[in-house]
Amino acid sequence: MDGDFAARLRRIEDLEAIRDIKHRYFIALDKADWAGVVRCFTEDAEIDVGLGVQRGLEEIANIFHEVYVKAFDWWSHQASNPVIDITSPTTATGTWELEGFVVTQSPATGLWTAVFYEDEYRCDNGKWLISRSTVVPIFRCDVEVGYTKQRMVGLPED
Amino acid sequence: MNDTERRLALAESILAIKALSHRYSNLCDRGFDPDRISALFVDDGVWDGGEIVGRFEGREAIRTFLAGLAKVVTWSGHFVVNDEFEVTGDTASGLWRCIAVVNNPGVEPPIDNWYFQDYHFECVSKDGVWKFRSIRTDLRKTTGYVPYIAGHAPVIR
Repeated sequence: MDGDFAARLRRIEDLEAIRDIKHRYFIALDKADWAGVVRCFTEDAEIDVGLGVQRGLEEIANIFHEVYVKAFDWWSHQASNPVIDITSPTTATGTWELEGFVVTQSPATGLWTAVFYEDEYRCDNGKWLISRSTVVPIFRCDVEVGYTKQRMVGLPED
Repeated sequence: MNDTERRLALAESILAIKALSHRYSNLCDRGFDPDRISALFVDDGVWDGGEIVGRFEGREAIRTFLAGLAKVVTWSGHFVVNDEFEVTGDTASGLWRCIAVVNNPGVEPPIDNWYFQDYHFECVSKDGVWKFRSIRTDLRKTTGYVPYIAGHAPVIR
């Protein structure tokens, strides 16, 4: 196998590995599998899902656990439109668009949301993981009101 | 090109074409970015929205159309699902289904709309870069679009 062929094949493998880790992240979130969520990140990962910046695996695990347990009955993440750019043999950037549904605890309300994810990925010891993830909201509304009348409703802890 | 090289090139093309439709949809939701979306088309590319929206030929016509759209659509979300397409060498054609939520710009006060829409496309690769030759999406022939708050039953075609 010549060098160019191997590099092209490696790029495909990298793109699919990055897509896979992001899908695993969303599935783990929807199963409330916090250990599974943490396995998707580098040890020094930073995330901002709209609740301030969380640094490292402990803070990441805590923020999801606390928010979910305190505020939500369930949630569902439908991710689409991934655009991933490999920037070096061990780094990549990516944008995803997501539509999500959330049921809050008190009051029990169905929320409908859409966001962009602006991500960075790093390949540590041969495994691609999320190293940075920032959520950019598009809308978040009460499903019974709609997104024109209520572009960005607050969450229970807001 | 031997069989293995052809298979590798096909896999690269499939991923590049998927990324093209995703990039197009993400840019729609960033204010219908006229410059960056029109750059995804070949010079004589076509964006055809059918009788309701109109047909725009050439990159500049597409850019102008998108600039106008950006002024009236407050915001949108286009979610790509169920893409299917065939690649033949340096050309490809097929469709993707889009679930979209869009402010309706033609109604005062604005209302939410939910679209379930097929985007038929042709694209071509030149110097290793895939671009759209055409995108065709006809609101009259799509699965449906509905005012969100009314629910899914009263589908308007």
